[in-house]
Amino acid sequence: MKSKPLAGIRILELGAYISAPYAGSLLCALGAEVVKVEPPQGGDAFRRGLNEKSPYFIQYNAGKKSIAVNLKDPAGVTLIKSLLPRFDVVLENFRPGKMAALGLGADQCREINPRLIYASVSGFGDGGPMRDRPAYDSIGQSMGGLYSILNDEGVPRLTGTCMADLITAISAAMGILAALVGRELDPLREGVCMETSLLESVSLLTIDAMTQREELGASPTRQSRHPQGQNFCLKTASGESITVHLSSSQKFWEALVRSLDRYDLLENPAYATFHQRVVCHKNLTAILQDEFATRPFADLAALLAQADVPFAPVMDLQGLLHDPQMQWLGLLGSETGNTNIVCPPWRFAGVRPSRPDLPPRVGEHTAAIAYEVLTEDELNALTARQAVS
Amino acid sequence: MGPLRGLKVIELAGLGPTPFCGMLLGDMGADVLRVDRLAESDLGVQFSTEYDLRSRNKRSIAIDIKSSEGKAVLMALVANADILVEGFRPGVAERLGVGPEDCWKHNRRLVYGRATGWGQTGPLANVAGHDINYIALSGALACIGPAGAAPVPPLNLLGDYGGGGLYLAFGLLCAVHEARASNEGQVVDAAMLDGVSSLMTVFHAFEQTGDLVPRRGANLLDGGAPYYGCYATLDGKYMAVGAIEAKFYAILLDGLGLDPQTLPNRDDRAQWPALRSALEAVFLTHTRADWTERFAQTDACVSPVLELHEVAGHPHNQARALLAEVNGIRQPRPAPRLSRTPGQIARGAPQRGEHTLEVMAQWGVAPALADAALSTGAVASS
Repeated sequence: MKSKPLAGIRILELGAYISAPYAGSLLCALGAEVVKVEPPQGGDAFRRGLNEKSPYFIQYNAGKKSIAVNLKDPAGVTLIKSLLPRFDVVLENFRPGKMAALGLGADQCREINPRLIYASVSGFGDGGPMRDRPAYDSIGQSMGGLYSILNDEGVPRLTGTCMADLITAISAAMGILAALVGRELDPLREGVCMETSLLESVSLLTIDAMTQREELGASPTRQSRHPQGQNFCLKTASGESITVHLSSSQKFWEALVRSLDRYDLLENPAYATFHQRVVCHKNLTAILQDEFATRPFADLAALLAQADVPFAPVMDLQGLLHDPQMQWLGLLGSETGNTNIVCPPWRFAGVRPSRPDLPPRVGEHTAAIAYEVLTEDELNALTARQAVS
Repeated sequence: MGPLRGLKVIELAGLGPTPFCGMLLGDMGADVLRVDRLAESDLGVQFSTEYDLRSRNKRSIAIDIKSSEGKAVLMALVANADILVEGFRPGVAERLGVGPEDCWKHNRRLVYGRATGWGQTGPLANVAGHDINYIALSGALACIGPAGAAPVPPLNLLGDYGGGGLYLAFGLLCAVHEARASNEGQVVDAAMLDGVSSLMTVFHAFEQTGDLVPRRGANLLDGGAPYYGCYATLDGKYMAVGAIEAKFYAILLDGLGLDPQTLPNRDDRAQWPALRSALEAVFLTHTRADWTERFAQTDACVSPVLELHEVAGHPHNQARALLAEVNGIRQPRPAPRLSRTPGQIARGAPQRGEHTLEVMAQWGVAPALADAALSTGAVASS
């Protein structure tokens, strides 16, 4: 199964919401067996009282298993500890110190299973002045700088999606994969504690702006990068908008103006070189906007495609669902055709890892997993004292 | 550093195949931990540690695995190990609570090696036996020995070591390789009987093609053929002859000063006794040293039969440093020789419990558990 390269890897996920569960979900789609440890009452808070019916919960948890364990009961913690030797990865996003207080910190778990990879996801890291502060996605986006670079100067706004949570989950999955490879290469085959946080992981998205900050000598904002990128977002006569990105290419610049029959711009010395066009970006935007406003979207799309100009429609997500390129990629859709399920963005030997569309009910797999380490009597005793359900 | 550096092996102290297998793995750099019982007051024969060559490269921890703390210590070690080998009779490890299922609760990747004579199943599984019994049932023993006399056990090389310890080591490494892909350990049921039977593969073919006469001392490789056997020399020693191919046989006769025209046809089995007598008479005319010199650097396939104490002194063995001397004790070097990461003899055999404290600290036994086990006497340190 080339599209499931992680088959055989087992992940114990003690995580809620997105920043850990999406990491688990990506690894699950890659073939890992992900067992989610949830509180018996209601499970992951992201189920929002809907158990396995919450669409957000489905997106990040389809294909996982669930065991319901009361971690406030020492017997529940003991059960988790006895499962550790049977897992490769622990993935958690409790607040710093919480897992250690339960007896399930990195050192405690790795003492039980030295080959364990302990992946810890937090808001700001396990130290520093912000260690103990609560954090959700917007806190990570705001603190990480996204709200300043994605908005115009002096106009702070929220963004349209939970970029901090998502990039943190992606970053956690990357860290886990590196730790797994490292363990295979280590002669002693030892695992490691891998930590990341919202604040750290958002740097994956702000790295270019951070670079630009040094060049500008000031913090960049939404429009700072567009002159040097030669980016334009232009409304067409029929109402749709088109994005054009020319970069420093002379060829694409010439192709664009030729496709618009604006040979005069080619002869205008003010726009002769890339560096001049960077300076004149505002003027150019106005000129191009006037041109685009005279032509309907379909005509422009045909012209730009013919001229090999890098462009795209400003797509909304409804449009994306029906886009022929997206359909060729087969990114959307579960094994049973549920188009709400987004599959991971890789193909192995041409095959995209598939995803089921059913998440587990809370505690659906408690008995099956517990029997790996408990006898029936032991499990009955745990159930009776409500340490598991 | 040997090629198995990083491989952690628990050897529950036993006899025959398990210590030999542990030596093979340890020679190649594995971290082999021998789990000894606690020192017993009524020990019969005290074994001299420095001559326990099969325990070189190992460390020792002494555990009472029947005690709950001792079992907990063993399971903490299991959590850290790649391999566990035991040589109990089938079912004993389970009764002690250290069977495969018990261990997999602590480490699902553990490869669980079980060395026995008869195997884990079958009507003889729980019957006592030794090397000679197992090789008897494999058919190998019947093939070895002089014509007209009882079979001769070839030491315990075939059962304990060749068919036992070596096959066990091979099976363990096969399963470790597989576990790295599957993340799951498995049981390696290494019966000496299975291993010796596997060693006999070619002879099963010979038997069915009629190339194996069902009598000892009557075949190509069992001393029957005059050109494949041992000959006494003037000084009461022996030369080993293995001139199977015609061109090598010609060189043999040339070295012996014999004219092929005057000898019986070597391909005529009926003539083998006559041919053997002719060769015997010639070999008796000179000493082993004379013949050794005569055949040196020829392709006659003739070698002196050396006594064990003579092995180290042979020029070829000297050139290859066949034997090592460690702490004044002569012993075979690790084999085979790997070019980039060869095996080595890093340490001598441990005393029972010599490394109890060191190993508990290094192999992740929780300090509280280690203290409890020491104070209750579940583990002992020497």
